[in-house]
Amino acid sequence: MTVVTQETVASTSFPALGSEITVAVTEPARLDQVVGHVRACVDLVDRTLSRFRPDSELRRLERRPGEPQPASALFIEALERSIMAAAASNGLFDPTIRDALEAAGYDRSIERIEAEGPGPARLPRPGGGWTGIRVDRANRTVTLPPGVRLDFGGIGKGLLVDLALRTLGNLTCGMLVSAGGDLAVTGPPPQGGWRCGIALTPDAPDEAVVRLTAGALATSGLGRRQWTREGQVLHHLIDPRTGRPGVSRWQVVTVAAGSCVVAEVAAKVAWLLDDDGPAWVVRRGLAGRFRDRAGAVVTVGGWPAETSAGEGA
Amino acid sequence: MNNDEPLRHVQGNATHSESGPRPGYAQRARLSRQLRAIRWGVLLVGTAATVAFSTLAMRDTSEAAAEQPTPVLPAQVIAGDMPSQSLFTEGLRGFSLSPDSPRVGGQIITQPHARSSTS
Repeated sequence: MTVVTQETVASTSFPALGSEITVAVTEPARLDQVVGHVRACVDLVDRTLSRFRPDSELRRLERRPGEPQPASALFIEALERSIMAAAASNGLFDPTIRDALEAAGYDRSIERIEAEGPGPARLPRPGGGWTGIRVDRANRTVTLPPGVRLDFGGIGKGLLVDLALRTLGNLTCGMLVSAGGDLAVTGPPPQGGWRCGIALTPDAPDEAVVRLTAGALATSGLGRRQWTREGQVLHHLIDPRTGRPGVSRWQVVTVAAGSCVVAEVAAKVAWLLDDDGPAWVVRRGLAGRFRDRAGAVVTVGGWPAETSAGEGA
Repeated sequence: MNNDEPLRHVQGNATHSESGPRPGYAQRARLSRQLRAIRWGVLLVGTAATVAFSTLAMRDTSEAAAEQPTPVLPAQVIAGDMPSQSLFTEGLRGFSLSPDSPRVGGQIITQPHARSSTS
C-alpha cells in the first residue's frame, strides 16, 4: 500500500447540515478541488433529503402519499439503504420516526431548537412505517404510505460521506471526509493511517485516538442534540419501539465499518440495544467502542487498545 | 337557443310570437347572433384569465421551487451506480483500524486529522 508522509496532509472545515464538515487530503494541491466537490455533495444531499427545507425533494414527495412519485437517484439510494438498515436491525433503525422526533420537540433544525427551545409535547408515535414504503427502482418511483413521514437524520451524514468519497474515486491521493463526526477515508493514507480522535462532542477533548487506514467511523449517543422540556431531558435518538427518546447505559457508541452509512446505522442500533449492543456489533463483524455514562469503556470486535489523547501527544 | 326560431318581442308582461319575416329581421338576427358570440367570447376569456390568475396565486414560493427539477451534480457524482448489495454485507468489509502511535516516521504527531463524535 502506498503511504505518504504525515506532514503532507492538508485539511479544512466548514459548517453545513447543522454540523461541521472536515476534508483532509494527502496532496495539499488537491484540497480546493476536493472541498469544492464535497460542498457540491452537501448541497445535493441537503436539497434532496432535508426535512427542514420546504423545497427539498423529501418534502415534495410527501405531499402526494399513496401514489408513485418520480424520485432522484440519490433519494432512491437513501430510501433503499434506510429500508435495508431497518430490515437488518429488526426495525431499530427506522427512517419513519419523524412524528416521534417532532413529538419529542425536534421539529426544527437543531440550531433553532437551541435558540428557541423545543416544540410542544405530542403523543409519541412508534415507528414501523418503513414496511409500507414501495421503491420501484426500474421506473425510479417511490410510493409513501399515507401518514408516513420520513427523516433521514440517522443516515444522511453517512450517505454524504460515502457519496463524496465514492465519486472522487478518480483521484489518487488519500482523502478523509467527516460530516459531524461521521467519517470515512479512501485512497493511500498518510504514514501510519489517519489519526482519528474519539470524543463525546466536537468541542470535548479526545478520549481515545485510533489510526484508520480504510473504512469509516461513526459515533452516536447523547451529545449535542439534547434539550429540556418541562424539566425532562429529551434527545434525538428515538426508540422506534416506543416512539420516545431511547434509554441506554451508553453515553456514546463508536463503530468502525467498511462504509460510513453502515458505521452510522450500527452505532445508533448498538446504542439503542443497550447491554446487547456489543454482542450485536461483534456478530456483524464490526468493531466498536462503548463508553458508558461513568466513563468506563468496552471495546469489541478488534477495536484497538486505546491510547488516551494525552499519552498520544 | 335556436337561432332559427321566430323572434319574441317582449313588451311589458306580454309576449308575442310572429311567424313571418319582417323588414330588417335578417339584419337584427345577425346582430343578435354577433352580440351573443361577443358575450360568450368575453365570458370565456374572462373565465380563463380568472382561473390562470387563481392558479398562480395559490402557488406559494416553496411549491413553485419544489416543482423545479432536482438539480444534479456533474455526472460523476450520480454515476448511476446506486448500490444494490445488501447494506450489511457491502458495508462490513474494508475497514482497518490500528492503535494510535504518537510517533510516526520520527515525528511526534500531536493533533488528530479528524474526530469522531456526536454532533
